[in-house]
Amino acid sequence: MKQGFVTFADIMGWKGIWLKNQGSEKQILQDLLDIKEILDLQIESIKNTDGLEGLEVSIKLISDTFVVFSNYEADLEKEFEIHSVLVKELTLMALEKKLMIRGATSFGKYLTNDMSFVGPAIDEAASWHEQAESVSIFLSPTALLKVNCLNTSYWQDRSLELKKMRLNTKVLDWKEYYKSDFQEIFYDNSPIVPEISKKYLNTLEYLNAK
Amino acid sequence: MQNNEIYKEEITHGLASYKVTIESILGGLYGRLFKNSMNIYREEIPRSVYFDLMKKHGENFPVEYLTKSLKSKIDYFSKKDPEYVADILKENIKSKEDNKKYSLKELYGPEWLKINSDVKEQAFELLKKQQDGFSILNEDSISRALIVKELDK
Repeated sequence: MKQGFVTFADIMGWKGIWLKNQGSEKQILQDLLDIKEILDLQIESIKNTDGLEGLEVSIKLISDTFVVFSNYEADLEKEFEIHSVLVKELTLMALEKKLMIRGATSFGKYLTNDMSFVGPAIDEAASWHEQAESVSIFLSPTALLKVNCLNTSYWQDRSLELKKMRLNTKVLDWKEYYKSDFQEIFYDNSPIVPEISKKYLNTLEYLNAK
Repeated sequence: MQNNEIYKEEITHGLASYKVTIESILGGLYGRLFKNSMNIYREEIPRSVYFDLMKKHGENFPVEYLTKSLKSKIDYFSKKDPEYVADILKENIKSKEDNKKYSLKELYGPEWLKINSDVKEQAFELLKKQQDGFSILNEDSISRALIVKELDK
């Protein structure tokens, strides 16, 4: 079994997006495949970087859910940094395609092949990833504990609103890199009725915070 | 946090204009590749990898390394650009000195197999509209199409 960081991230409001785009489903699929293709290209470049021999990192797409997993026994700090870079890029690319994404990153053991992933790190990331009420990727308990002694400059300490609780954890800080206008996504999805408002308002609050 | 652009280069490739930029962010390097002003690709060297590369190969190495990596992607994105593919086919048929019939694969070279079928079809449509100095036989089929140079009489 391998040990490393695992992120599950899915598109918020996927069923609604699917229904709203009936007749052009191919384009939605293409948007997700485009994101995966660019991330695969980035992964290839990272793996070819001098000094990162033995780094394993991969991205899979199942329906609207991206799974990123990494393993680099030689240097956990580098693994975490590279994992952070990739999930940050995933968030940005989704937003550029006007898709709001949320997810969770865990740490632990896992096994994968082309089609399947098993292990406690997979179960933990999968169970937390749909909980966020904003565009955010956050660390689940195992990852939060593991990164205690690591450089976490891509992450921000926050009290994050989840569906059933508030969680004090580290949340990926993507806004420094975000050059598009979130208001476009906001207005494209209006009316923002109370039932769906939290994810938009929480994301706006994060973007507007200094 | 201050974003600091440390490298910029404009590159013309085929009909498109590309721009490579590199900024220093969070102690690492953040590179972007633009095509005709649109950001099409990004690549990052995080802080710890950046310092290791610098220690091992010298201060200028990480920027040179990222620049090379970003530039190498231009070729990748060109293969997804129907105009570029059509342009290569046109240039290659114009450079022939005979009036043999060439398939699209023969004209483009072995890289033809790596091009997405949607891109091939769009490139072929462009080629059909731009027949100047060459003609296309079997125009209805991309796999059977043959291109012939019209030699000056």
